[in-house]
Amino acid sequence: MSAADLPAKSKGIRDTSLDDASLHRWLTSTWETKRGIIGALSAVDHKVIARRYLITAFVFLCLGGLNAVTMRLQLSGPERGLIGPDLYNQLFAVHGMTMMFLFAVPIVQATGIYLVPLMVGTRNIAFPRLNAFSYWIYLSGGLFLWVSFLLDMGPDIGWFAYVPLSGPEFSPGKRADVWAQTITYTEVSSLAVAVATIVTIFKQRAPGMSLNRMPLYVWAMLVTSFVVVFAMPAVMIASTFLILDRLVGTQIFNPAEGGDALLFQHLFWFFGHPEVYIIFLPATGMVSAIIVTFARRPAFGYLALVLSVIAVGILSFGLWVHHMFATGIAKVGASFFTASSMLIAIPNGLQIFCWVATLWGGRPKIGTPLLFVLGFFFIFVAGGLTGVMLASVPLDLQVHDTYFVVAHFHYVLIGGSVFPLMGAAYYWYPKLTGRMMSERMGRWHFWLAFIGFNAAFFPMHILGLWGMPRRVYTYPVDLGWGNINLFITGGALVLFFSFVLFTINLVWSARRGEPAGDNPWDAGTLEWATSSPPPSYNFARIPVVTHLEPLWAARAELPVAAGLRVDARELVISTVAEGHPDIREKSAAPSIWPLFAAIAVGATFLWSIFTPWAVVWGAPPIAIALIGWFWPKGEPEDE
Amino acid sequence: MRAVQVGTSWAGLLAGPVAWAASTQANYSLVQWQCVNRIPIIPILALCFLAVAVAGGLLSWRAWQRGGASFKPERELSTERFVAMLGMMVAALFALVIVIQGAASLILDECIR
Repeated sequence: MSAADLPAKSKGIRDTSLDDASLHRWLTSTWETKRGIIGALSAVDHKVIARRYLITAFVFLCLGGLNAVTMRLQLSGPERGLIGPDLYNQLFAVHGMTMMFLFAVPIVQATGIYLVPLMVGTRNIAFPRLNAFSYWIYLSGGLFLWVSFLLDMGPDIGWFAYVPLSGPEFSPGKRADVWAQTITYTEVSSLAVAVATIVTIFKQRAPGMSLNRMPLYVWAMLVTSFVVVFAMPAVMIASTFLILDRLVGTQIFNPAEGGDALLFQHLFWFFGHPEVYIIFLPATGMVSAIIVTFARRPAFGYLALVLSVIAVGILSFGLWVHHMFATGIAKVGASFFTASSMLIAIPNGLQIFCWVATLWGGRPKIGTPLLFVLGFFFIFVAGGLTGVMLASVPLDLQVHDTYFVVAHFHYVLIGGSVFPLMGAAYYWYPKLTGRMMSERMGRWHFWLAFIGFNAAFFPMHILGLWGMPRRVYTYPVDLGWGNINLFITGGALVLFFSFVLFTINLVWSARRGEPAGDNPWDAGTLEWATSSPPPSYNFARIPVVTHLEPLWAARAELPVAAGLRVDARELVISTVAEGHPDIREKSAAPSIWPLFAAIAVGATFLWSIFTPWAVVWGAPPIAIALIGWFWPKGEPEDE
Repeated sequence: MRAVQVGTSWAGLLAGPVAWAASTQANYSLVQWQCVNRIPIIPILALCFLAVAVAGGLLSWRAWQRGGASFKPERELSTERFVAMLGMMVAALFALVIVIQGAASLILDECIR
């Protein structure tokens, strides 16, 4: 039924006096995303935006994976001539940038964009237009990097682009500028999502969802978003300073003119280390959600798990210098960061013990999501142990820039984030599509990924100890690294094939998967209280929360709140600590202006790698787009 | 003063991380100064920041004992105690990090590079 079919009534119709069918019709006409191209481009529904993010990030995962496979084929034997050094340099830089900036961070944030509003029992994310804007900026950043790469203009300076290598003297051309502006695009996008997520969690929680009843995944996303807000500006400053040095002729990073090359590393790693936790913390939230559901009992040590997430998020800002131990800093100074790096193992270890205890005290049923979580335990703990080793200055100096480090961070990033993400994909796929994924294919996927991953990355520890440096495009026969590299390439191909299988499973299950129903896992959190996939308005009536696992506490019927308008996009705004309902607030309606604003901002960023005047001439179109965005249009949402 | 008398649930949550951040930043910046002047400023500062973290933890503990400060009647006991317990634990963890960082300067010579 369209809006035209609804009875014309006076403004301010509430949900209190409507039966279920009328309520559904009203809410659908108010909240649905309009059909057609304009409707799609104007969408502000968090689920629609999140789906776009998820699909785009998955495409970038595949592209980054192809980079990796190509590199592994080149390294599979000594002195192979498949790829020259120039292309190899671009491959490893674009691989790192794609995986970190275009896959890992966006996909964990996208999962939050989809799940957080559902888990806290609201109808849309806060600042929905900002959220839509963030997606368009992210997409343009990704296209910018990959089109540049296809035009042989991809960055060739590694994902952290140290000066002086990336400065004007050693990187003429535009490749380093592409690095700098890709950072700007993706960080603007991440910051926008982080702000929207924080406000959603603090102010839009369902009545009764006090801080001590907030799902652990929501806690993880809250802390992650704060880490994004504090970490990302540092790298944007670094990339902007770099582009100023390259384009305007400032000497910020040039020691010969009074600048400081080490400042770049400080700025980069003040972001770069928390970045690891930006990727890892949401994964811990996913692990908690999956373990609680599959153990069929509430989390053991909820308070300790919340403490861990907060402590890890904060401590992640005190570790950055451990990436710089080889730069000749004073040993006492380095030891401060050794201390923080080792002590962050305490909250991380606490989490692991709480999860194991939850499984121990429950009646776990082994499904594909839990298999990936168990794989995460094994791989992440191994990666964490080499992390504690690398926190020690003498050992770090020995293995710095070798394959030992490559092995360590892939164990931490793939083990700590990709395995939980895969578990999360199997766990929440039914909510997104209404269908279950194939368990049979899922188990094949897990075992191939687990074996392929360990075969590919464990031998890299040994290679690193033998002295193979990272980022070399080939190596001589005499060094004897050929066989082990061939083995690693075999493992990488198995890992890649496991993801091919995952893709087939995603597509096959969307058409032929078993219908899921609202709550196929019998989980306890609010996203399972609505249909699969959820309607545009998420919940017909806003749930009232009385327990940490609301669906387990009220199995017969979930208590709900009433009183919201149905002819306008209205939300319940609640208090920060207790989640008491405070006021009713409007949520922004769909608009094409965020797209226009993103085009203006994106074009300015692109142009600015050629001339600094782009910032001046780009400002008026951005201003016009923002004025259009915020101009009152007489809709109920403007009241 | 009321905050001190009845406790503040979130004090540890704020004081622990802030004291640690300040301690890390200040002491990292003062390594060269201590090397030149041979005055043990790093462990002294670490002790001061430790006191800040511990004070925050104590305020949270007081709030936990009393079931939360009654500044706002709408606050719920369970939420107050939850935040207070978080505050105590966070303050304790960051106090430990401050102590270990400060202890490093007692073991290593500040001039070694």
